[in-house]
Amino acid sequence: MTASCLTATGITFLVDRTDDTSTATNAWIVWGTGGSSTGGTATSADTGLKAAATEAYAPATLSQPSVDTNRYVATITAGTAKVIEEAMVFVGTSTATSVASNRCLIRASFGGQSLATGDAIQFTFDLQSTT
Amino acid sequence: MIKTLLALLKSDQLELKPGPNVVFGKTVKLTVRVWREKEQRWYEVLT
Repeated sequence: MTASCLTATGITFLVDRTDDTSTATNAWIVWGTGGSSTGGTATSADTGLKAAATEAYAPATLSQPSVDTNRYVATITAGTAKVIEEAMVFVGTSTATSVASNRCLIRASFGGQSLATGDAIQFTFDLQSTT
Repeated sequence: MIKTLLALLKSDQLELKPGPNVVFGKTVKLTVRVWREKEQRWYEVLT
């Protein structure tokens, strides 16, 4: 079952961006293998992945497909065979050195995708503001 | 019922408080496509 959540740290980031308290303009997408483990389902309290995989963080391409939506897109390629069950969008100021030093914006858990070496996943996260 | 409420209001025993003025929310949608290297093609697996 898929769960996609804007996190509490993500809300803090959005508020800080609104008044320029935060100048972070870069976003990355990272994936993991812990979506189905105990406590692996995405919630708004998440601050990181349950079990990060070994591949590097992928810089996200940002766009606005509509005036009320921010879109984050990135593709990650598997270096070895694995089952991907979770992904996260996080934001930071410059380079992605560690998830802990940046803010988790969105976390998602989903049914496992079995990948062989060289397979890839393209993630598209749409964060829409609603009234 | 209405008479009772009016009586309470007039007697200041009933305090009415305004609700939230703005309802605002965020929704997240995830789309996943998988590239199969062996087959050299994309699969839409989650939308």
